[in-house]
Amino acid sequence: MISLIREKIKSLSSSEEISLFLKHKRGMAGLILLSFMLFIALTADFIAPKRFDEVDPSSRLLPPSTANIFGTDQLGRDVFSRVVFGARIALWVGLLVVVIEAGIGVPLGLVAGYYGGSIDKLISAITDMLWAFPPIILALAIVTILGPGLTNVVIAVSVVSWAPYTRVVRAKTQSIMSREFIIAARAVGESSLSIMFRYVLPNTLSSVIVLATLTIPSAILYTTALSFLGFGAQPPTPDWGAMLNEGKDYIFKAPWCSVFPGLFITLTALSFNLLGDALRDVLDPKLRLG
Amino acid sequence: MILTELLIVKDLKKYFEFKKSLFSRTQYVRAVDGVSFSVEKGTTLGVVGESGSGKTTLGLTILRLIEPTSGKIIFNGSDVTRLNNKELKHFRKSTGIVFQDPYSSLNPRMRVKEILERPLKIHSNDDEEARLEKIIKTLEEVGLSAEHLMRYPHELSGGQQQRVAIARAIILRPLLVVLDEPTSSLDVSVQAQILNLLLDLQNKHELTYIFITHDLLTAKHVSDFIMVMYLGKVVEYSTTHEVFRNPRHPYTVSLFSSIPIPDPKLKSRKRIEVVGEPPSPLNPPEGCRYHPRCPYATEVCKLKEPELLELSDKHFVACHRVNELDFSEFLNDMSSFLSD
Amino acid sequence: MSRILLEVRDLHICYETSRGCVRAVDGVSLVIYESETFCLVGETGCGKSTLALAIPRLLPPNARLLSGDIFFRGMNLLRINENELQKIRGKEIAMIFQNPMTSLNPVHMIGFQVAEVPATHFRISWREALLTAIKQLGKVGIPDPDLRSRNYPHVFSGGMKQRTMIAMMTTCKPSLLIADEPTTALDVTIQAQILKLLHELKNEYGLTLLLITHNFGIVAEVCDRVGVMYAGKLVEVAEVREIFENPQHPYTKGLIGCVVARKKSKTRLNQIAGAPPSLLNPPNGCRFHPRCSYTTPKCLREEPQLIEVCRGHLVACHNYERVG
Repeated sequence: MISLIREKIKSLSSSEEISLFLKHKRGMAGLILLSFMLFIALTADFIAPKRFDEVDPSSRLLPPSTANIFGTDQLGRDVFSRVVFGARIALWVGLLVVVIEAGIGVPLGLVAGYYGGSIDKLISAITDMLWAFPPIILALAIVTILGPGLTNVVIAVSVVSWAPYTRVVRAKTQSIMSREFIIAARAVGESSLSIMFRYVLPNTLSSVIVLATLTIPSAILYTTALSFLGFGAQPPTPDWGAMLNEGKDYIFKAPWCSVFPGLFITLTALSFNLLGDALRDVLDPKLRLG
Repeated sequence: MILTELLIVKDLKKYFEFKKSLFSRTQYVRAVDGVSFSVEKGTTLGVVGESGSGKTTLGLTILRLIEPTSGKIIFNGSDVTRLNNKELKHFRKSTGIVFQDPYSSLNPRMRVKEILERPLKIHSNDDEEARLEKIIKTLEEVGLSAEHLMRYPHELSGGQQQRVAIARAIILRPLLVVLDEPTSSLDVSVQAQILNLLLDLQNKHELTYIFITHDLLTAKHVSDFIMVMYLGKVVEYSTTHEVFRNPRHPYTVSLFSSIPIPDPKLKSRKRIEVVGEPPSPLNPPEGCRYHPRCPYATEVCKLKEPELLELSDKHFVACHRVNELDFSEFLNDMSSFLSD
Repeated sequence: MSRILLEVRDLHICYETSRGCVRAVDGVSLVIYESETFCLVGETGCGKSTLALAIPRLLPPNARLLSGDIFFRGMNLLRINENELQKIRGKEIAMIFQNPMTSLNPVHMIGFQVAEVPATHFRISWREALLTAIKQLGKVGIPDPDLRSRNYPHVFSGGMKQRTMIAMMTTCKPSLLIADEPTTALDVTIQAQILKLLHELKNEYGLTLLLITHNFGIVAEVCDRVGVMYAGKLVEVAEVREIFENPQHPYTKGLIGCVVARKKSKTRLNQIAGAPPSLLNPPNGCRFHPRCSYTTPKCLREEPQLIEVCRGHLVACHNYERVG
């Protein structure tokens, strides 16, 4: 009897979330879109007809054709190949930024909200100070110290923009701390650490996921801006943002130089947003429909 | 005689600091202000009071979920206020708590199985098989079954959620369970189910209950002793029978007058009318805290705080005029309801 | 018997949800007489609040009125246009809710909010409206109404807020006051004060009170007649003494048996097994049959109609003779 129940428990706990996700139409659209981006990023070497840095001065600013389906840029490089290789950079940037931001912001917010008092005041003061700085200037300062390069830019961008995570997690933690299940957990003898990780953190997760989907696109844009200023992706790195910026000079003459990278930035951002919404719905048992 | 008392509380105080702004002086909310009582093993103490009476704070302080400001809490022979970490863990094992709002008291991210498994993981060395067996046995005890194991709290009805909360409180076989308005947010028919369940569990496991409620009639149904609180103070304390047959504090009697009684024949009974609203516990009145609302208040009530005195065997009342007042006119009509 | 003030005829209301249509009120017919206190009793989700909200047409946007009529003094409230309805709401039919904390607007002064009602419904100046408001605040037992009318809601206690709501809703001396669990959020002593106030206002203005509650104590204390609702249906209507002394529907009987005050201490209460059904997919036949101890095969097949078993006592049960 017991073993029978155990079997059932095993089969139930993992499959339910997945099947719920599969039913989520917009979530699936996001997942498919993101998988597509991931696919072209992984297989760029095979899909791209040319190298991203293959310069051909004889075919500059050519419109889309069968030979160059997205046209060519001011140096005669194939825009399609560059966009495909650019997916690698965009996804790498998005992932890294979220991991670093959440890695700094979430624990701080959790500790501030859980303990309150002077710890909370200290953490909140740091967060507020960070918030008061224009992030791009702070990021510039950090990049100057670390030296140029895409990874350094990512680190700089993440380090200056974890504050929203702390704020959101802190506020969420405070509201969870007033719920009775926290007192109940203490009454059965749970330790502080266990309460933070078993009771508080899972309940903040949906907000963190939503926040992550909002910060990935903006992080990609920040990186782009820094790349444009010459600190980030160094030419000829096919960074979408950098391509967008380079293309803007030819926006009327050769709009394809900027339209296609722009389109891919939008699609990537959209895919993260759709996915984030779906994950929030699936992970939050309250929103589930029995 | 001595051993039958599971819990002895002596002059317990809990003051919360309260600061209006950075520069104003610190004020204190005297939520629990010098409360003493004892609870015998296997009995139920009903703590009755309105909002702001300090009854919930009292329950949390007894279980040391809030640190008391001063006073002693002696549980099973040892002082709860002085436990070290290891002893506190053992104390947690022998006590449980159930709250008013069952949904809020269950972690929405945990399935029923995990909710009930945590106490076992913390306090026992059982393997998974043994834990599961205990969980299912406890679920069955509270009227649920193995089919509820993998449900999330929001997938259960209010009554079922409260059953899970009760299961969590009793799964470690505690000696004392604090029940903080366990039926107030439930529907009438579910209330009856939960009260029956609590009585059954008490009989089966010889549990001791502290039953906190605003509803005198529910308190009467489940309690052996009743303690009436007003603004952090005990105003009356005795056996349920005595409190209902012979209430002596004007506040207790006014509660009898205020509770709507489900019998249309008592519609036009004589009542004490309580005027005004309970004052803020931040700034309680001088003297007897009940005097601004008490129709019997005299000069002495405004000046001197009455002590909780033993009037007759185990009947404590805190009122200056306890020997002069006669409430029989308010109680006669209700006698069928007030005695068993 | 006095004249009919309000008549609800075969009302069907459902809530559109992502899971389908929740039939919150499913064929309710009801008559309320002038200057009586009528109580609707039932558990959470039985449709009592939906029914109450439907009378002044204050249903939330996802509610759909499927069919039925509500006659107020012979006028069909469900057929008249919004303009005409506006003249009735607040003036003829007023409503107070369970949670006074959220019924008042936090950014306006108390006096302003109360004065708005007479200012909308009568041709009087703002000064006069304000004076009426202050007078009414005094009447409902707010001390120093002149001074307190300049307070904002947050400084008021729950009881004071509910008094303010009552003042707001009675300045126009409505004929029908609908009170949806008006004392559930309040302490017992305050509850007694509010119930007494409602009773006094009712006598003074001759208003008709439709009280919605789940508390049988309140039913016994203030009501003349009672309607018991279960799963979107009205299952029993009778005078208050009749309900307590001679309940004919098994659900009513069960509910009254659940009330703690009527049992000896520390004894098991009679309980109704199970929980109310989901209104997405209610049981066939009588909706109470899965929880009923009198169930016969007929209950599973056929839905019982509300019939008059004796004068003024209506029951919807096939087996009421065995129950009573």
